[in-house]
Amino acid sequence: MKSKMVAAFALVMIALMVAGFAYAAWSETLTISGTVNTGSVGAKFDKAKSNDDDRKWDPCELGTWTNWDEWSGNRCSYDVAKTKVEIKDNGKTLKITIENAYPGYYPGVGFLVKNTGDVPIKYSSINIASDTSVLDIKYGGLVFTKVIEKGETDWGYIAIKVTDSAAEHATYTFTVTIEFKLWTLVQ
Amino acid sequence: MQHKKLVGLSVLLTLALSIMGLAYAQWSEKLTITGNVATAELDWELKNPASYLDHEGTKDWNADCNWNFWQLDKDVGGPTQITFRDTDGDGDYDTLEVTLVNTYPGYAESISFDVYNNGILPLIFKKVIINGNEFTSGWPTVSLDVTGDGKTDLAIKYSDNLGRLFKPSDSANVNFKILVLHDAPESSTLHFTIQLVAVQWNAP
Repeated sequence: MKSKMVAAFALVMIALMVAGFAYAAWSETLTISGTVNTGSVGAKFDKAKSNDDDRKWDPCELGTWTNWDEWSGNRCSYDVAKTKVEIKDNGKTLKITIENAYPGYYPGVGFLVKNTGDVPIKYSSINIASDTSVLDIKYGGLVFTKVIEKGETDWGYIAIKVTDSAAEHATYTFTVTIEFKLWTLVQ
Repeated sequence: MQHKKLVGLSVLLTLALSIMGLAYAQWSEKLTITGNVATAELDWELKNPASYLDHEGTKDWNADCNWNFWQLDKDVGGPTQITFRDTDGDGDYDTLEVTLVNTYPGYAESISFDVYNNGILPLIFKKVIINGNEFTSGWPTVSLDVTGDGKTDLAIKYSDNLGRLFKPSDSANVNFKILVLHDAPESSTLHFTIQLVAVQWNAP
């Protein structure tokens, strides 16, 4: 009797397994395989120009910048100082070297920034680190609202006024950091 | 058990936010401008030699209050001693030491020398300061009470090139005259200082 019970139970189990197999056969799984390639934010200094290359009278006011290479303003009647600009580190750094500066000397450097990334960018922030009692640094051109599309450029400038606090035979340094962000991240 | 779950959830949440933050941070790029500003030096100097009247063996010169000079038939005072000094060690003369010897009321001396712009900045000879008295133009004359007894002992007249623009490598002659006045004390040493002040040409 007991063995009959066991046999019946085993049959039921087998039947259920067969039924289960049949249900599995009546189903289908669909798969979505996704790959997301993200773009990158990239910018570099493409071109730069000083308004006091050698053999020019020294600029002595901020003047007006209308493009990265177009400046108009008053020059003093002598050529004493010189401002040189170089693009370094594959366009990531602009190196400005000013020689023979003196109080009242007010050179500027215009630059062109190119969007080298894959997505539009916006100018986000600028940070100036310098001894503000000696160097009065102004900037302009770049605007927060402008979207720089991939491959496009925008221009800006910085101008450095040497104040009356500057000492003779001294060396002063400054660093300007300009940040660009994905255009959607800048309000 | 409940507490452990909460802690675990909190850690997971923090981790997720950090990853999100990192992702946002990557969507930006910084460009840097570095600057190096080297300043120049305003530099001018006194040129050696100076010319003066009372040399060794020459007779004395006297003058009146209108700076009319005449030579005496005696050699009592002098000779005038002139020394150029480089007090700041920059390789050029910035101080002229003048010593008048054994002088007396009426004794006068006239000293001339060149000043030279040996720097790269144009400069303006802005003012002359004679024992604290400032002059910015003309041919100033000042009477000095150097002993502090209420009576003037010396008169000094400065002349030439005050206010002039000196471009680099320009030089010009300047002159000052000294007259020992009648109230000058006997057996005394009388000190005076004349400072020639230049400023950069574009100074306000």
